[in-house]
Amino acid sequence: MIQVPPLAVPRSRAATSTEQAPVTRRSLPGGLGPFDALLPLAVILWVIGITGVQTDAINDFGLIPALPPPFFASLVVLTVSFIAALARSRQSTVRLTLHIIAVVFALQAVVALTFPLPQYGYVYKHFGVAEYIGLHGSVDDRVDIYQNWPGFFALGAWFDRLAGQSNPLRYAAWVPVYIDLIALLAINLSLRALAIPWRARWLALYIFVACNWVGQDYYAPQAFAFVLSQTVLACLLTLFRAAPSPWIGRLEERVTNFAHGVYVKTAPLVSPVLTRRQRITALVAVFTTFAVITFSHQLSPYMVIVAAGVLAVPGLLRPRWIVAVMVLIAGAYLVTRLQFLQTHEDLLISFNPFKNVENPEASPGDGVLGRQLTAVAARTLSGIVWGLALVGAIRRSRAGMSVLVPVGLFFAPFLIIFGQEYGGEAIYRVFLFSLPWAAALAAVALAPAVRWTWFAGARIGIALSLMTLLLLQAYFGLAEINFVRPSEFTASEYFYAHARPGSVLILAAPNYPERGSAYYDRFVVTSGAFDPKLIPDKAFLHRILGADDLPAIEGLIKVYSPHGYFAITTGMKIYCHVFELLPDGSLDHLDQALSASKRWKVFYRNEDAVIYELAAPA
Amino acid sequence: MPPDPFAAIKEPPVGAQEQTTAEQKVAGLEGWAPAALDVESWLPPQRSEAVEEQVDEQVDEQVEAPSPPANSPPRMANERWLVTADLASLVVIGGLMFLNIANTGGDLRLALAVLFVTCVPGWALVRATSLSAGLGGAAIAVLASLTISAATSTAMVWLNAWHPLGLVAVLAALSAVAILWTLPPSFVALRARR
Repeated sequence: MIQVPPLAVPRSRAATSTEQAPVTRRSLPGGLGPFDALLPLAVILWVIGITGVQTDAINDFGLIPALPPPFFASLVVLTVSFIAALARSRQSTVRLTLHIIAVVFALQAVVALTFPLPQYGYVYKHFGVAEYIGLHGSVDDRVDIYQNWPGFFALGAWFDRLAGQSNPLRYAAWVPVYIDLIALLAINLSLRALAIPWRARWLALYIFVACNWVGQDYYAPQAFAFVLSQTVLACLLTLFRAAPSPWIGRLEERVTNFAHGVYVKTAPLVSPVLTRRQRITALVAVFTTFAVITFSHQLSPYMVIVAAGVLAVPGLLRPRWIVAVMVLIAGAYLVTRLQFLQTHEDLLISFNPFKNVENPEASPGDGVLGRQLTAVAARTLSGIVWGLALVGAIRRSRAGMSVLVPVGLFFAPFLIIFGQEYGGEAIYRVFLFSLPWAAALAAVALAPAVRWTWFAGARIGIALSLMTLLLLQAYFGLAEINFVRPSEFTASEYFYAHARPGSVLILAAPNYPERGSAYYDRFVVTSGAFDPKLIPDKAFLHRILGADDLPAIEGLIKVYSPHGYFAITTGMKIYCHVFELLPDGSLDHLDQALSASKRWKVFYRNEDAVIYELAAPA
Repeated sequence: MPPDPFAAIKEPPVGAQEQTTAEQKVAGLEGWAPAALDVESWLPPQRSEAVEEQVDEQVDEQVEAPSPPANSPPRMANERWLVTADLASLVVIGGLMFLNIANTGGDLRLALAVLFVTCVPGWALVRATSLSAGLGGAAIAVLASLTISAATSTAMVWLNAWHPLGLVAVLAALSAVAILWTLPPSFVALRARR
């Protein structure tokens, strides 16, 4: 261990700081400078850009071809403005907060302002559950998995009534903006508890927004649970942080020495001593929030448990029994839902990590060039933030600061892939839950150690520009698929209002706004979270479908119900095109075959959707 | 405002000598007096480069404004923000209840509902427990609001007692009482400091 002298205040430096202070520390209006014009300029450019978005120009490469130059210019100006705010000698909370809000809006509000309906076909089934609760005032555990984890949907139903909305359609497109802003509030609190320097902390928040390509912040229980999970972690880090066990301190010292760093054995970061009353209040708050997470989402409580466990093992979180109580809450609730999960084969548990990181619907090499580019952009972005996080961990460690907590929390979510598959989405959840800590360490790698330099500004500028550019492709690259047409939603609404109860809806392919009605439970929903589909069944892939396939469709209906419907939409055709699951025109050919068949009749048709009804019982 | 039962946190002296791990545990804990009921102050001090900046800041403060008194402008500004937030919460409560009873409102009602669910019950809670200062207080208010809203609405669903307007009335009434309980002393204090 290297002995370091006590910190001393160099008088000359102190004097310099004192001279600068009146200029830099005062409230915003007094300190306005030329760089402060950049943020309003970015906003103006962004507004001009948004008004010029042509959704007709969305193609295989996503939204980027539809975005006009002022939109890109606004992002460049915003990045420069943010770097200028970071370059100030003192933290300007107002400026930095405004920049973080601006970047969230710049990236997340695009869809809300330019798409006619909320994106993602699979978000509409969440509307249906909230509407169901609003209509019945209760849940039916036998219907589907959502009614067994109703926390988010009950809140949604109550909110709709409060806000005078019949469903979440009007505001759901803004949920990503809302979720990101609140998550950033919690993450900021966590980073403060970790004593991350202010430049690195604000940079981390920006990086979190610029790297969050997984799109898990839409109107869904997992988005809500993510926000609450970050809250619980922030509370634990702020209120129950303890000095690590001696063995972990020795281990970290050895690792630091191995990395040729300077191990500075300073006072550990610990939470203040709480009074008994404060402690009880804090614990009740933590456990109540954790309980809400538990009955809102199947996977998220285990993410929190793993993270808290990683802190508790080396003694960084005390009392350790907090984790035990969390396990008890999550386990007790799971036991009450076990029967449903067993009968519906929806356990989501898998101990095969290789299977759990796979997306069953598409591999990276599948699809048209635009889709492949999107996959490469997402992986590159993840690689960059993870690589920078590694550099940041080494840098922080070599500077003598403990990295146990951020590194532990960064790796903790990866443990979940050894136990849960989450329908092939586990890897996305892992990325999302590790992102705040990866962003924090990446920010440590990029931010200047002590004094701001032009080199640091350039380094940050290049990194943020690259991240933002990759995010645009990774996040908006599948906009062609994610775009939901109003006529498709109208067809879906018509079906749930007029179709025969007890029947089943078979979809030609994924990407349909299904179950977006309070009456979705009147139809067969035993197939899981989605209606049954032909594609991606291997028997139907990569060929022109036609009259020969109609008996197979009837057979599929017969599995679920004697009566059924079959839907083909523009969104499904685009899905099959982008992932190259069917030759172009295949579903049109099937449409013609159905139209010509005497066993099928048109139930509903508009320009983007057709629903056939099986005329004769299957 | 209820009186703060705790002294402000004493941060460990910046130039403290290096200590052994055992000593650190004791000194670290002893150095932290029980928290003032201000979540900002519960946060640990920054270290290393952060410490350097902190040193700057402390020196600046010593030169610029040595030992700010309780009625100093920053404290007054903070108090002003708290009172403003209290009044805003009461406006949200009143507006939302009126629009719900009148069953009208459109976008305004939507906006008020977002503000209510996101902030109001939690803000009332942190005000009642004097945890309201700074970013930490705001964060806890938001998170407490979401937790309270989700927990109570789910309880209604499970108990087959779906009364959405009843729930908002109860939460609004409790929040208003809690805010009104803390508002007059804050208001009087603010006036007195002026």
